[in-house]
Amino acid sequence: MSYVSLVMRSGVKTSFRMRSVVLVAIGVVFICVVGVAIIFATQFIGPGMKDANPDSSLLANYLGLILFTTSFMSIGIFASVIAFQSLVREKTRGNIQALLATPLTPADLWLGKTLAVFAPGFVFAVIMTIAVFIVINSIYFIPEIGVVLTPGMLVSSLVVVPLVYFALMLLVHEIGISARPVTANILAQLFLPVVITLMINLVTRNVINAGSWLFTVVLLGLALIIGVFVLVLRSKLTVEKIILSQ
Amino acid sequence: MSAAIHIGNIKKSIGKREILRGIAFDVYPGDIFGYLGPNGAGKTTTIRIILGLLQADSGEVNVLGQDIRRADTRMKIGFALDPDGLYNNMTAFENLKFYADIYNAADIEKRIEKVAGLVGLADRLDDTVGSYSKGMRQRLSLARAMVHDPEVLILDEPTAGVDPTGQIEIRKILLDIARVEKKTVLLSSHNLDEVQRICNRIALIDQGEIKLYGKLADLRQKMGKSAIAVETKDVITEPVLEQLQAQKQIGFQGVKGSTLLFDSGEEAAEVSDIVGFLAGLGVKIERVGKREASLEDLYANILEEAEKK
Repeated sequence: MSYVSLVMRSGVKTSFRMRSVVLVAIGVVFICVVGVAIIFATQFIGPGMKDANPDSSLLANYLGLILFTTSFMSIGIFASVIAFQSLVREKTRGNIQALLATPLTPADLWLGKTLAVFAPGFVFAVIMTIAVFIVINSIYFIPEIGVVLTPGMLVSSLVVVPLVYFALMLLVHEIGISARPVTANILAQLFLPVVITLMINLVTRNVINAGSWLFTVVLLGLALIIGVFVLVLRSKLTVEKIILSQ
Repeated sequence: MSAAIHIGNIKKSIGKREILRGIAFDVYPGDIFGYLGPNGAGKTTTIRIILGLLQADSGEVNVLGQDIRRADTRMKIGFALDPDGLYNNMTAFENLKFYADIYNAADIEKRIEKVAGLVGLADRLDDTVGSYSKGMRQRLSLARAMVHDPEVLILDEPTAGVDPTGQIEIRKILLDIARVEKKTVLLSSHNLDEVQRICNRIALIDQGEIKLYGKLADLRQKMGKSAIAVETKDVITEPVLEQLQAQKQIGFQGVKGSTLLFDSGEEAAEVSDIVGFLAGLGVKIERVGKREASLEDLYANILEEAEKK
């Protein structure tokens, strides 16, 4: 475990020294999150609050969707950008080969690199999600009907979305370390718009309520499916495979 | 004496390409062992196998009598590879500390100061590695290899891409490391001159096969021809060359620039006879000396023999 933590700490340190990359990632996330929150709030929550008796279940649905997209985009954009940069850089500069010549195992390297990308993204996502939750409640709900909150929406956005992304980052690093970083990057970049579009469709068509436990379970299922791929590809993560992929 | 590094008949193919075709050699404690060969000969593949980065298809590899795949064996090995794998946006100190932490080195700060001093980078430890020249990076790479005080150093082309002054510095550091720190060093190189200057034993690989292996001094005696070298003032003319080639008893080997080379040894002509003969031909002599067979000669001999086959 100490090797994993060493790799993680060095990964975080080197990533955050690429200031321009980090600032661009934070800027893009911020603009996307604020934009999406404004669109959803004005399109769905605003009109919903004009009813004489606002439907709290429907409002929780919309708030859940906003929190989900906030968390998903925050962690997704941030982690994908940093992961791609670090994988490409470390492969071409021989950092990975050098680390594997030490007592580190491929698993130490894989977990350490994944955590180095995931941990800052997770912290960033939690901060953004809580901030959006407070802002939406303060502007729309508290003055009229009080705080809108369901345990499902909090667990989904603060625990399960990060879990989905942790699984995805494990998969991305597995592919990026043992094969080509570009392939891993395509997977990471496509995952975000595909899943967000799918979930928004399901929620706005009232197939599923974003504030419910069912929504949490669906996301958990997604994490599990990615987890299965991670396990299947785990056997490919050998020292020789990693070295020959450089 | 048991070998510090034992390579026993290893074979390795990558895809359909046979990279190593049953190579074998031993590196003994205290050796500075030169692993020579042209680009693409199989040097880096061998080094990767010794470091456990690739697995041999068959054969035996052990370091200090242990399997390289064991973590405790890797703890006893330091390495410098190409590319160097240093983190550009970390300082030299942070790079060394990171590896010292991985190896769980004792008294890390003192050790870093010591190895940085050894490679002449003690006053540049706080600079980011991205600002380093190629020569400085190679020296830092050597410091990283030494940071956990390993018993064996494995260095892949430690002077590649470094300017001549940097190469001299690195060679001096390597000699210091071997003598003062008493390490066993295996270094790969395609630079014959470099290996000749610092190594006591060599193996020469070409097309995945060891062509030459042993103590450099023994190999020189066995395969290389030493020669009497006569430096002349003027360019050697064609008639003079014809005369030299016609006189078999004088043992004329050839000409390099304005230097004439003659056989040396017990059965060869006396130096005075050679000088007298040349004077008779009107050749103006500047200097006469003995020229030892160089690694370059050995290498040329091997390539020549390979062509004949």
